This record gives sequence, structure tokens and C-alpha cells, in this order.
Amino acid sequence: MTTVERLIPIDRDIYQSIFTGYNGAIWPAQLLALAAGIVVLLALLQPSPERNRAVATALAVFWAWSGAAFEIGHHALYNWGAWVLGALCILQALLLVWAGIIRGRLDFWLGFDRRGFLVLALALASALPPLAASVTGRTFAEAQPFGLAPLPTALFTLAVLLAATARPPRYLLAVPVLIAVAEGGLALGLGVPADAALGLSVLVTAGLAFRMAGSGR
Amino acid sequence: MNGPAARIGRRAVVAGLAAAPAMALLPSFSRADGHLTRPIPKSGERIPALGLGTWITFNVGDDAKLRAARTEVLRTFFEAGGGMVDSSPMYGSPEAVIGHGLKALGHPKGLFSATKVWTPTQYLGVKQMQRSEELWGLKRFDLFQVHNLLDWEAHLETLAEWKASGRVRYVGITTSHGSRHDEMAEIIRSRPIDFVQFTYNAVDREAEARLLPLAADKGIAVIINRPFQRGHLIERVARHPLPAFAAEAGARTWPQFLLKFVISHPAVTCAIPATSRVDHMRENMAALSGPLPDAALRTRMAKHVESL
Repeated sequence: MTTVERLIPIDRDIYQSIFTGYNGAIWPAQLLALAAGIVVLLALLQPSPERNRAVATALAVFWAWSGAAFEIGHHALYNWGAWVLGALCILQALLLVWAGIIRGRLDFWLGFDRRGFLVLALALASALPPLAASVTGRTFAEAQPFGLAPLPTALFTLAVLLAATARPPRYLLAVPVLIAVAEGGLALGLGVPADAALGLSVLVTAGLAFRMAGSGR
Repeated sequence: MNGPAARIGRRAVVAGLAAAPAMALLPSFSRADGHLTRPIPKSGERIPALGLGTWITFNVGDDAKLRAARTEVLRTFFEAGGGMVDSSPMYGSPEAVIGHGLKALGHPKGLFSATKVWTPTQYLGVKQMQRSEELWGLKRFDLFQVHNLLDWEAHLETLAEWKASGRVRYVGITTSHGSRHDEMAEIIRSRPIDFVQFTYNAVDREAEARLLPLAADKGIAVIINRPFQRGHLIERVARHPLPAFAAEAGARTWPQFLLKFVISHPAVTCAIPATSRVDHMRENMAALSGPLPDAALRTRMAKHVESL
């Protein structure tokens, strides 16, 4: 019996039903979140101080929603550990407000270079789970929604941070890494490879963001 | 649950242990409808030897379809002569799901309600226990247990007050996965508890050496969790044919074989397998009927499972 099995009061079926119930309850917020994500990417192409702050605001809203609505408002009904994850998500929202809006330390630029295409690819990957669900034998409703659940939000946030013109504060990487370890580990333990891969993607992107962000611009 | 008030003392339990080889022949282990019951040593009240665990299986949140399915599992459980339903706030949503099911079934009279308190402070423990009463729709629990010994001294103090005032009938402590047996043994020796709950099955048999004899010696009822090792034990044996000698224990399937091994230990009061399926519930509850293995057959059963 694995450590995950001992501690987590859900199995694979319940894990899937958590997302089914959540996606059903918030529909059509998924479409609004996708639209917001596209607006964020467009803002990176023609940045300005106002647009940089708007990008930080959008990311903070994604994190606050993921923490309050998904983790605490829904996931915690099934799993007490979601309270901790929810608090981490809300902390990340506050850190983004601090770094990007209050301190103005997040400046972005997205060009059509190698890094630009990497950012776009990662951003696309963060929106893929619902589209890829059918390929992995799941339904659309069983997938993690873009911008409204922690793992896609973590991947999208790190992709955006890769487009920062100056190295972003390292404290912005901590919560995405913790979320990736916790939620990716949970998915791995429960046998949900698509979400485990999403968690792994977050960890790899966090490494890239740590090494590359702000360099060479 | 209200049963016969005849007291079963320490001497009787020890005598029961000594008489284990003849258990299959003892009519006192059965009740009128043929289902196996066991006495709670501190009161003599008899409860069915099989209960229902709810870890994971009843954690279905507010999904109406899944709640209805779990209500059918509960209905089957009570129709088959089940009594104890065990849960915990730590499990997520099962307490709310049980409360929904009990209300839908008109609060079956056979229910022996058992839940746990699982918080790091006494104050939060009281709030949590009140919340459990609300979720189950009960004014009084049959059994409150301190989950995994978390802040057990403080919670046992609260539970002693609740028991004295009639708000709960029995109090107990729990562990799982074979952990913290030393601490549990010390509490059994030194505290006035009614129930203990720990893991025991055909391959996890550490409890045989100390906890089971100690509980019997102290006149404490024993609840066994994870009789199937959360399903892993069934996966392990399922690809092998049931041995011919299973018939001697009255087992027609592997789950019955494994359950009969557990509930035939003379110190065990009740085992609480978990399931989310009506057919599995029927199969499990059938282990309440028919003969039980004696000590020699139990040894043979354990050796056989270990060899698979």
C-alpha cells in the first residue's frame, strides 16, 4: 500500500467524479477562462505597464479561483488536504498581486523567437487537458479545466513567467512546484497518468523558468 | 442499538478464548435469525459481527446518483442483518452521505452508529463531534472513537463527559495499518475505554500477539478495520481457486473466507469491510451465517493465504 493510498480518502473513480461535479457546477466558466487566457497571451505580445499589471491580475484571479472555488469550495468536501492546497493557491494569488501589481516587478514581452514559441506551446499545453481527455479515455468533464484548477493554472503561470523580461521573484515559483508535487503525486498514486504528466510538466517548466526567465533579453 | 443486558465479564471472555477450538459448535455465537452476533464486553449488548466501513467507498460528495447508489448499499447491509456503520470526519464526505442514506431509509433500527473525532485540539473536537451528530441526523451516537490516537488524552476527557451525560454510549480509540500498537496497548491498560479498533486480517496478524489478547483480558470490544487490506488481499487471492477446506469454515467465496478468518477470532467483536457495491455487500454479509472455523482451521486458512 502506497503512502498516497494511506493518506488520501479517494480513489481514481472519486477523483474523476470530483472534476465531473466541478466542471458541471461552473459551466460555462471554462470558456470565459480560456478567453481570458488568450487575452493574456495577446497582452504579452504588445506589453505596456498597464498590460503587465493586467496579466498579473488575470493570473492572480486564476489562482484565487482555483484555491477558493475548486480546492476549498469543492475538493475539500472529499479530501481534508484540499484546505492546505487551497490556502497555497490563495497565497500565490496574493504573491502575484504583490509582485505584479503593487511592486510592478513583472514586465513581459513575447516575441516570435524560440522562447516565444516555447511559451505558446506551454500555454497551449495548459489548456489541453479537456481537449486531450478523449484521447486518454476520459470525458471532457473529467479533465482539469484551464485557469480554474491548480495544475493547469500552475503551468500557464510558469509559461507566462518565462516571458518575463527580468528574472521574476523566485517566490513565485514555490507554490506551483508544491502544487505540482502534491497534485501530480496524487494523480500518479491514483493512476491518472494525464494529470500526473501535467504535474511533471509544471515541475519541468518551473526549472526552465528558474534558469531562463529574464535572461538574454 | 439495544440488546440483551446480560453482562459478559473478563472471566467469560478469557473462557471464550480458551474455548476457541470449539467455537464453530457454540450456539451462543449465533442469534435467532442465524446471524452471528458478538457481545460488547462492558455491557453484554450483542451486535452483528460484521459492520460497514466507509473509507473511500462512501466519499462521494453531493453527487445525487452516487448517493442513491450508496443508500442501496446501506439498505442491503441492514436487510442482511448488519448493524455497525463506522466513519470519520477525516474520510471526507462519508458522514454526510451516511446521513443522507439513513434519512432515506427511515433511520433503520438496527443501526449501531460509530464515528470518530480527529482534530488536534479539544475545543475543535467538541465542534467536530457536534457536526457529526448533525451530518448523521442523530441525537446520540452509539460509539465515538479517537481517530488514530490524535490528541487522545484531551478527546477521551470530552468523551468521558459525554458518556456520563448520556450523549454517547461507548467510547474507544483507533489505529490502522498496524501502527502505534505500543501506545494503543498502554491506553488499553490504563484508560476506561469500551472499544478499540485496529487492522487485522489473514496476512496482517501482528495484533494476535498482543492487542487482541490484551483487549480480551481487559474486557474491551474489538473492531477490525481493513479485513481485506483495502482490497489488496482480495486481488492477491482472487486468481487462485478457493481451497476445498473453505467449506469447513462455511465460506463459498474468497471474501467470505477472509471475513470468517477475522470474525472467528474470539477477541474480535466486529469487522468493518468497506464496499460501494450491493452485490459485494450481499456476498460479505453471507459470512455472518454458517459455521465458523476453529483455531486449527484458522491457522490453516492463514497459512494458505500467506502461501498465495
